[in-house]
Amino acid sequence: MNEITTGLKSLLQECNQKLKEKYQNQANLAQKELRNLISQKVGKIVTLNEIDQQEIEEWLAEQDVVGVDGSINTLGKNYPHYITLLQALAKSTDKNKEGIVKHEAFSPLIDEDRDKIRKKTYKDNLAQENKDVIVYPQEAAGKIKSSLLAALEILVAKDSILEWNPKLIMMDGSLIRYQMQAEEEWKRLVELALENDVILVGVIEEIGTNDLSKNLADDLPAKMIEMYDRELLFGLLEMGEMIKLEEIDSFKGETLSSVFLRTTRDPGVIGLDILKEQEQELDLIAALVQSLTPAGGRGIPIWLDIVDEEVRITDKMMELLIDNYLEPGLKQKLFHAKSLDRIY
Amino acid sequence: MQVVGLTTQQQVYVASKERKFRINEMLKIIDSELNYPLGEVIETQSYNRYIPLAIDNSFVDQGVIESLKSIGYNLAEDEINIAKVRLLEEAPYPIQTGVDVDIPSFDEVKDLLVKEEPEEGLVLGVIKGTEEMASGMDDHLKGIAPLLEDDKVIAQEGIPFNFKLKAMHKYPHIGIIGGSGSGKSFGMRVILEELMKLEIPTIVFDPHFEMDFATPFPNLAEEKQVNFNDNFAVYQIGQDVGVNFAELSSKDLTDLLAAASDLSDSMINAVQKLHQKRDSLLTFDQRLGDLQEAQRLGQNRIERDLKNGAVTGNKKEEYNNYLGLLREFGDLPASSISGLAWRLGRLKREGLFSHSIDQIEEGVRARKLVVIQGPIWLLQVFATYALGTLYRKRRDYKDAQYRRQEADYFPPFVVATDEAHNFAPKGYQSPANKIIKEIAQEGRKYGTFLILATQRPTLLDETVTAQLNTKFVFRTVRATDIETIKQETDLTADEAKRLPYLRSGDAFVSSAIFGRTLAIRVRVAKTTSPHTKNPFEELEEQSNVEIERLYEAVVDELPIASTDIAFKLEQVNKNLEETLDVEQLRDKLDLLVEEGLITTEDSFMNDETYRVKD
Repeated sequence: MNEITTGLKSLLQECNQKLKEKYQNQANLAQKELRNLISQKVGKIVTLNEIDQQEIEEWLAEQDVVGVDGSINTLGKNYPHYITLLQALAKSTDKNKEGIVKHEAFSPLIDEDRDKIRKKTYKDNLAQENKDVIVYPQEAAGKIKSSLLAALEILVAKDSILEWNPKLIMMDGSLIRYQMQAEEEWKRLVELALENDVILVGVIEEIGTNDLSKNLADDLPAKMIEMYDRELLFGLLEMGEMIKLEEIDSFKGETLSSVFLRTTRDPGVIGLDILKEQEQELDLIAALVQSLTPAGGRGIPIWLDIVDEEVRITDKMMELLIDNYLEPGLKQKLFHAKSLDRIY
Repeated sequence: MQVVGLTTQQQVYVASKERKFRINEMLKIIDSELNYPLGEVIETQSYNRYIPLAIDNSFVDQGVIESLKSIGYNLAEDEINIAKVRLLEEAPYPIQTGVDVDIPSFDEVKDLLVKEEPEEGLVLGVIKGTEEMASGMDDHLKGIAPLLEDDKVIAQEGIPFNFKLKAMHKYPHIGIIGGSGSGKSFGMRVILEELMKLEIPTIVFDPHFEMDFATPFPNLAEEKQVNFNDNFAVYQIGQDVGVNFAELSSKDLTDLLAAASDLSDSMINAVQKLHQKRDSLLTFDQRLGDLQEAQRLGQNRIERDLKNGAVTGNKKEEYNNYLGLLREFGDLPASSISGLAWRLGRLKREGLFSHSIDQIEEGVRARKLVVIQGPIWLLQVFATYALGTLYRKRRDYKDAQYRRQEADYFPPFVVATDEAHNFAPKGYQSPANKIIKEIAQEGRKYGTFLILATQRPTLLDETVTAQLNTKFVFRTVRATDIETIKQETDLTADEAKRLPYLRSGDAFVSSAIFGRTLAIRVRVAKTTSPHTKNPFEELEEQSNVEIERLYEAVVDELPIASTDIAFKLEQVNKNLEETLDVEQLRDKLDLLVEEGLITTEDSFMNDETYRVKD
């Protein structure tokens, strides 16, 4: 026992050393210089205007704000023995309007889903440039699940436009995700939104891009070139500050405008995406997002937390559903993970 | 409203988004299989899942809530109200989760809550949590129990709490428990008013001199006022009522003397030896005095004086008497005798032996409420004597009746007292202890009932406490008393927890008559204590009266030059009916100047003159 922990301890110490070496290089470039660099090359750093209740109300002019989020939960661990339930919700701020919900179930054990997986695997393998790398069905299945969820979310967003014609739809996560994972549906949603003057905005809690280092490659110290945006931005902005990315080389760039902003006391930042066609509204929406975010919170507007809370398929709910509607024999045979029966 | 979560046979949780629950309110659970059981709300909570109490995590600040409101979403509306509901009667199996919950109509709860018609019982207040059901109530139940809210009289809200007096025959005796300011005295007053309404003979021992029913409650509308003047009488021990010495047993006398001040064993022994049957105060007092004198003189001197003829005539007779006393009681220590003499003197000075209890007896027979006032030490012994006598009369009558014999009628009666723990204390003997205990245990049989109020239930004799079949529990803060209340009543732990926070005038009634604890609010009293005036205000008023009198006495003599004070003195003294000297009058005049009632003016020769103010 003692030996095991000693081993882990030294491994962790090693890790720490490596990370330290890598990230200490950031010190080579002071925060101030990095800010200068960013404002010269990538985009302006601006302070958000505070927005008051009246302004918001006037801007909304009796229209609603809709929040869209999805949830996914899976019973079973290993491919193909699992079943996934997906659910998406569009919720209006008007309490009299019942949320729009759509569901989907997915399991590699079901023939139709298995066909989808086969096709996807085949297609992806064809598209693969490096033929040594093989795409396995389980990966394809994972991708299908993501696409299904994205498509569901888009569908509820679309329905919310048709039913309620809101002013703004806030989606949880980057808009690029929808564009990539459910291209067709996304296109239709964008058309509909533009037609009806509905603003689409994606609120990104976990920034996963590396646009900054890519665009600043020539000016950054060697070791920083590989850094992701969240690493570079950590602690760089003051609360209420925003970087408006302009004319940068990004795979998002063609259709979307993006900003990074720090909305909380936490030094991390969040991102916002908006359609290029609607970017003139970005300042106001950023201010709105800021005002809807608790200063001590995790950075995203509380409205999305509320939607998330409502749509989430909790483990408990999953269990209840499965126990009620799936025959126990099937459940045991197909989805039961032996690891759940562990005594210790 | 809906039953949620885990249910049991005794209690359920009810949740509602729209409706806030009120503590103690009644709810009907729409479980048809259990025949729509009724329950009472015993705990209420509100919760908003979006505004959690998060100390470590983010707190949803007001600004965010406001912004959310401006985009059309009101977080406050996500509040969920939860009530813990205890079933009035245990169900055979648990309530079905998910069933609806409704507010019962008056008819559905009538049998449970209205045990007596108002004109037959004691209308003491309203049952809390019945506000919404009260609208369907019969008219004669309405408007009979106005309430007091922040010194204002407000209309009755809810179903009246009518205490079924007749049920006392089965479940005798009432306890009233509560700390100071809890509304205990108010509660007692209301009970006594209702007893007068029904013309129940009642004896009240009033150590606080507050149980007078002549003054109407100041804020009460005139049509609600009741004149009780014909229904009660107030007597003070020593002034109006007292003890008939000839009726005292040696034990009674010992108790009485002990009340004046503690007795030593040898004193008790002395009383037993000295007190003789059919002794009057005169004979006993004289015997005591003579013995004291005899002991002072000493046997030798008395014998010598008798022998050598130094005493003659009456004196001789006296000396012979002394000698007789010394022979009989000479072994009693002189200090004990003088101690007894002193104690007897104290009781005599209080006038205790100058009166009788005839008026009390008359009052009881006339179905009146008789209030007996006196200092607590005297009240205790007097209560022993008076209660003993009257209870005996009642008992004799009933016993004769049981034996089918003719006997003098004596009515049933109620005995009420505040500070009951002084009358029947736990752990030590007090004079009244025995008789109170006896009534507590046997009174039911003879139709004699106790109403005992105390702020220290822990100090009350346990045998007595156990016999109190109905207990009104007002606000209580002391932990030991709450513990006692928990043991002696069917208050639940939840209810006991609320005791320190009850509003003045709110009480739990734990009664065998209702079979469960009810929360009530006592109605406004129709009368008020004669001395509710704040002593500090009284002080202020009294000084003003003094100054006014002084001013009246000097105003006609003004102006008074300070050199002239001596000349004016006589007239001022005459006006004042007092005798001031020059310096005192000067001080008084200065006082009037200070108070701004008169003024001074410098006159020539460096003197001043007191003048009337312009």
